[in-house]
Amino acid sequence: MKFFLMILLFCLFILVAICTYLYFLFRKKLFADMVYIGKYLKNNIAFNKNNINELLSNSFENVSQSSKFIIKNHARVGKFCYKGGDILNDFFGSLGHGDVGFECNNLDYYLKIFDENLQKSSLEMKSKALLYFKLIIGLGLAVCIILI
Amino acid sequence: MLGNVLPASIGDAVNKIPYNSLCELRLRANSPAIVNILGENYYLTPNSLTKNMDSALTISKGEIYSILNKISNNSMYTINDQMLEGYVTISGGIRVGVCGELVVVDGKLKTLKNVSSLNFRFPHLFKNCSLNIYPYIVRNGEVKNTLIVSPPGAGKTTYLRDLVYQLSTKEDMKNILIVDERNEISSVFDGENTKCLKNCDIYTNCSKQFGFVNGIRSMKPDILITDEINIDTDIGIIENALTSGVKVITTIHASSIMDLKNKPNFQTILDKQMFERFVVLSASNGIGTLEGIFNENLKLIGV
Repeated sequence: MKFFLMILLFCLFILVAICTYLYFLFRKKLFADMVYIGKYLKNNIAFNKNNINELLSNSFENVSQSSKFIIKNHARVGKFCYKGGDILNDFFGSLGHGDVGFECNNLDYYLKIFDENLQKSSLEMKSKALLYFKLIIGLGLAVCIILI
Repeated sequence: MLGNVLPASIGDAVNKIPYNSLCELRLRANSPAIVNILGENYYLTPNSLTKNMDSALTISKGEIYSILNKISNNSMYTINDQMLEGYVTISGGIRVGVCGELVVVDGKLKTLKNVSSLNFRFPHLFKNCSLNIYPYIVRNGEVKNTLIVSPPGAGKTTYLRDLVYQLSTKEDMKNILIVDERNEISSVFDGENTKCLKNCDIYTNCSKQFGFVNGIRSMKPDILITDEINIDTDIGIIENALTSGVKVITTIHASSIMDLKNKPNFQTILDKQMFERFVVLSASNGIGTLEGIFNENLKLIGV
């Protein structure tokens, strides 16, 4: 019974480790996708002036599933982002309120923020993601050994 | 049609009015909503039309902005150019006049802000309304260059729309080019009877300059139809179209032939006999009253 509980505990640590790793991965994917969406919107608004809803639907075809989920629920998962987590809310709330010049300037502003976030999350992916994964697995092992 | 654009209270009230009699809906910030039914103005209430403004529905400035947002599908940049012209055309050919404060940057119009008034003008496809003038415009398969003359709101665009329908069905071997600057002529056919435009090529949201020059060059039309020419700015391109062998049917704002004669460049049109038919409309006996049909010498040939 004790052995069984230890296995269960170890599996829990593995799950936490995987979730931590995925957190860094999805955040990096999110910002990569936001950079893509921003550029797609800017090009289409500048040249075709198609409406926002149509452009967002079209851009979603090339966006990862995890990013789609986060974007669709951005009001609730804003903490996923840096700087207080309001970036996605601010970005989507700022779309469609001005003329073409305003929209392009606005998109440039947010593209810069998304790019900075992408670089940060890429660095963290390299440095922290694997490290935390290994640390949590190690911690799980240690806990199991102590319990033995 | 307007259910998803107007605030619920006004949308519900407007939906109770038979569409065929609805000509205009005027919305002004913090003022009563007014509808024009067959030339007569009424205040709009939740359940009826009245001449008493006390029970009329009103609209706030925020609701006006919300209407514009919905019209643009949350993309104001898509309608900014149209707003600078003073109106936006939405689906169904409904023209929404927009009034507010202009923003000028470096001497150029940038945008319109603080919009406080909207005027919805509803187009109607009155089938066969132009049959009374059709025999004068088309004789033995030959189409005459025609200018439809009327004051605003007297039905010239409605006549033009029906002429497009008649020409498209009766002269189906001719190529018709429609330069639909404000998407008012062809959009009324959208979703209904589109097969009747099978021999029509349509430019929408383009200038007359572009439509005339590029359209004639690329689409080789037999008949070119456009709405609301300006005698001062459009006379050159019309002359070029006529010398290219294209028949032109168009409209102009004027209350009568006398009024038309007072326009500065109209004498040029007469001297060059650019138009073979002048059709004068008015609202004297209801919208679309035919006052007379004149030939190229302004001689009355039909009523």
